[in-house]
Amino acid sequence: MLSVDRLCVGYRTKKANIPVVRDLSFCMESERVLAILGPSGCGKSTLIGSLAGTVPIKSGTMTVFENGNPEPLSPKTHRIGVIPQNLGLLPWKTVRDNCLLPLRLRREPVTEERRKEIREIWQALDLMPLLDRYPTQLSGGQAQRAAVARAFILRPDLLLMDEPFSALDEITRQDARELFLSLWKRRPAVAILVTHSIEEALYLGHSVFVMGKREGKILLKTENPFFGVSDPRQPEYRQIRRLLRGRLRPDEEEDE
Amino acid sequence: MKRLRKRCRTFLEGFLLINLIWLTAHFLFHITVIPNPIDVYRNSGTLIADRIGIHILYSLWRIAAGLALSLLVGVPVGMLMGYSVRANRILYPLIYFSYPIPKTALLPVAMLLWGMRDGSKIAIIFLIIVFQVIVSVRDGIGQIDPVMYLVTVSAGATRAQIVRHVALPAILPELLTSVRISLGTALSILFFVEGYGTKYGMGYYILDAWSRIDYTGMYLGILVISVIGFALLAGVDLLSDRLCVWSRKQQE
Repeated sequence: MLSVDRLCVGYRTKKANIPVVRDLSFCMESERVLAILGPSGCGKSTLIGSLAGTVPIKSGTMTVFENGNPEPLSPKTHRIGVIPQNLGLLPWKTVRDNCLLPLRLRREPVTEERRKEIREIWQALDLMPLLDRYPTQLSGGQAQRAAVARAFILRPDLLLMDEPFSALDEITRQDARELFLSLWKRRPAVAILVTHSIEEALYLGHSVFVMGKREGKILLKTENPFFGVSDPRQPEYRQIRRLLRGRLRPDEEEDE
Repeated sequence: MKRLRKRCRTFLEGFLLINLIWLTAHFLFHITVIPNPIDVYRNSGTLIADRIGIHILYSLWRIAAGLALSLLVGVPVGMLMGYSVRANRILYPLIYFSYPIPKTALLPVAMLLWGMRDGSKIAIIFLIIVFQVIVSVRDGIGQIDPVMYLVTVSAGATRAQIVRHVALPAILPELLTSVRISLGTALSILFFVEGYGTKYGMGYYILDAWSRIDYTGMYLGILVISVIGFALLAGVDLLSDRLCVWSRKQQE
């Protein structure tokens, strides 16, 4: 379980402290995906950065509960997998080395069993023939699959995704989402998916948050019964979609 | 490999053209300071008699020592400037100010501090190369996509691991380019720093021949230096082909 409590993140300029996220609290049960929708510049990427340990937080806590024991979230103690918007593959490493890098950085031994699992992930993502290529030699979809493989090979405790499908074209994107879902179902981890797409949020999120434009305020929290449903036709689906779209409108600023 | 072959061809073309101009100049000006290139080549046997190998080795050692020192100092300083805003604020004006100073003008200081022998020679070569290295490392660090840190820090990378897996490979192509440029400068400065306190080195060889009014020997020396220069540049190219496969692939 992941618990974020009164999280404040901001950056300091010479004149003032500018808060990006203020007093953000939420809680996630294990084996759940949380989708966060929000306009550009609302602090979604900052939130991802704080959870990943690259953006320093000002106050608040981020705690992981494992068997009821609380432990502050840290890249040193927890396995955090990240799939950023531009995928973040290191250009000077082959697909294989990119995928294995998190293990190397953590000095985790690669046992025979682990090796088998890695091979399975590569096979599932159709990466076997691409292992010796460099990122610049990959198509968008291939690079995306490599980044997904890297995240899952780590066996993450927490999986962070910042618009991971946004660089793909429409057809590849749907395939990539399905592929991701099937992998996730076999190795479920607490996952946070930041996205612009309402359809994506409803397809991949057990619950969906809508973030406002100011200070990362959460305008709406909703459970989503349509997780993993590829082509929902129920009227409730349209209803929830309309609700989310209504909250995403930029005129939200007036009612603050 | 393809690049190397291309470079060889460029060198050969340049070599032929230079000789052509040389020959024309010889017939045009008719002065002893421009001998007939054919006579110069015919005399190339004297190089062996002069034990040119020792001169070449001395020059290479001085350049190698200067280059190694520059990398040893320049890479960490450049990284410090690239990563620490404060260090950059202090060091950048200093670098900016001393960059255009002709380093050879510091020779008297270097001589007093490190003596007339190899010390001051290596110091001058070091001063010429180190600024290039610092600036290119600093700029290279600045160009790294922040997402590279996101994926490594989140995986628990230590500072040393970030340097090893992100910073060093990222700056390598630019670093090698700047090394290539500064090697050329270092080579031409040999003429200057090997003009005192030594009896060995290509610079000494040329100057010595000149002072003996042995123009054939002087030109032979110049030819040898240009071949060494070509070999060094080709070596750096080969190295960058080997180490930066990933950035080559991008261009193809």
